[in-house]
Amino acid sequence: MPILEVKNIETVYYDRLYVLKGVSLEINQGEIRVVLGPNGAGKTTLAKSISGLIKDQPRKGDIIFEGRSIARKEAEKISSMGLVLVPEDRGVFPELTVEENLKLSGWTKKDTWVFDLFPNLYQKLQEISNHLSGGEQQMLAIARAIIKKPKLLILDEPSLGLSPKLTNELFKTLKRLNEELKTTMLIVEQNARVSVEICHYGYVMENGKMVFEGKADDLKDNELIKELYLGGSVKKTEKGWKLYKTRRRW
Amino acid sequence: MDYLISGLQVGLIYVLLSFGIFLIYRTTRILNFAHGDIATLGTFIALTLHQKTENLLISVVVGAFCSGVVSMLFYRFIIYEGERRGVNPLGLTIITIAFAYILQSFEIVIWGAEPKDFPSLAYGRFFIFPAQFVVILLVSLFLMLGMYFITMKTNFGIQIRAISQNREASATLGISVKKVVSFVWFIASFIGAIAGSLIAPLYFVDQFFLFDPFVKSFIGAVVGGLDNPFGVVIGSIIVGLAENIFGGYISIKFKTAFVFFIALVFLLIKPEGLLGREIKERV
Ligand SMILES: Nc1ncnc2c1ncn2[C@@H]1O[C@H](COP(=O)(O)OP(=O)(O)OP(=O)(O)O)[C@@H](O)[C@H]1O
Ligand SMILES: [Mg+2]
Repeated sequence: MPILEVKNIETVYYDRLYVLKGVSLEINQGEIRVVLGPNGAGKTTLAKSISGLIKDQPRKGDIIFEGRSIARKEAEKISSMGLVLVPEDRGVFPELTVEENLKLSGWTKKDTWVFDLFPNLYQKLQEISNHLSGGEQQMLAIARAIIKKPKLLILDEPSLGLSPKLTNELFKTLKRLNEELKTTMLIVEQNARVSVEICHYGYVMENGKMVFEGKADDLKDNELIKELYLGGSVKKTEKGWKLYKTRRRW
Repeated sequence: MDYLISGLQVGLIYVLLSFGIFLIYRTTRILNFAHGDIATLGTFIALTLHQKTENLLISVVVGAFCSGVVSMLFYRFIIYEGERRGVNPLGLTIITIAFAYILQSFEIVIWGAEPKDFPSLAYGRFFIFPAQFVVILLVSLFLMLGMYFITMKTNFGIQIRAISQNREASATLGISVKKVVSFVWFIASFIGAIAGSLIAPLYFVDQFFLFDPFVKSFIGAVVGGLDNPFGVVIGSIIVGLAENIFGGYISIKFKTAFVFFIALVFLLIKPEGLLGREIKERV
């Protein structure tokens, strides 16, 4: 039985902005699955709808987590059940120290295993989080989520704003998390290149609908994905990267 | 010297009141206009209990506890529900004004409208200082150090600060915003009612007696910077001192006007408050 089943959900903003138009997906224990899609496809909306961050949404369909419906439940309840989201903006508390950020999810001095995965954080424990680099903030956000020992970790665009090098490192760490801690992960990404490398299964979302799904190899072979996301030449990716960095965040 | 002491004395009371205003503002994003009235309720309860039991200390603490509970219930069942239904901060602020009026009427019905005497915790002098001043000084120092410890050193304090910085992220970590903020309202009004009972012997107690201190605490908090607890403390003390020294040496009639005047000057010079800081966000 899958750990999470999203069944044909519809999310609407302000009663008239139809963003998710019947989206389904599932993920099994121990897997990494990825949802790819361009700007505005509704990826963040999907991640937030699952995590209970959009009030009264999804208004149709159901979300089953470990056999129980979590659709329209409060975000804090969903998190306490073991489904933890690392949001697109990372959700690091800017004026708390790194240590305080970690403590919020129950970290104690004994939990040194975290620094094995995220060594940078150890030196910066007493630093104000706002002074960390973007990459370090992303590490902090993920470390904080992992401390909660989530049964399912949802990551919304973990590569956002990171250099290609950092992105590669981050995805290696995610792979380690999956292999060593057996963390089940749903990753929502634009960066197909790195995510198809680590995922077991993937979906492509466009305009509020899933338009393709398949195993990692199917994704790599798929012409549409090759063309849209994997890019033919280096030039193309550079341009895509720029666009990707300058797009508006909200 | 006397004006300095009386200024510091009310300044400390303003600190206690403004700290509650600050806590609620930071976690709920609204200005609680009922803050003074909820504290007044606790002061009235303390007065009645004292008449029944003759034990002022316990009466004050129990009165403060009642204020805290009323405040917590008000948050949980009215403000929180309003928030959840999408009432904006302005609407919520208006609800607090409504609640202030409701409490005032309620207090008139139960305790009547005529002003009453409130006993001091200590009479006479302690060395050269008035004993009540010493009590106010010690109690407010104790409460402020306690609050510093709670907010900076405990997990609960970290949760309070996390919620004030990013509610959505707090929820994704499983922190119950409802529980934490309810307790913040309790603490705010508990401290507020202690302040009410401490300042009551200097005034007569009626349903409006904390209105003026409330407004001045608010001014103190804004002058000091509503995003920094130390600013709130310093701003409130400045307001207390300025008001009493001006009132003592220059004109008692214009002392309140003077407070507003300095608030205006301070704000024009330092719009974010004395110790207010702009949080520079990383992009
Ligand atoms: N809070 C909101 N209120 C109104 N409209 C929203 C809101 N959030 C998202 N939308 C709309 O929903 C659509 C999908 O947005 P969403 O953020 O889910 O896309 P995305 O796939 O995450 O894009 P990106 O890759 O840029 O992060 C957009 O057209 C956006 O305008
Ligand atoms: Mg997004």
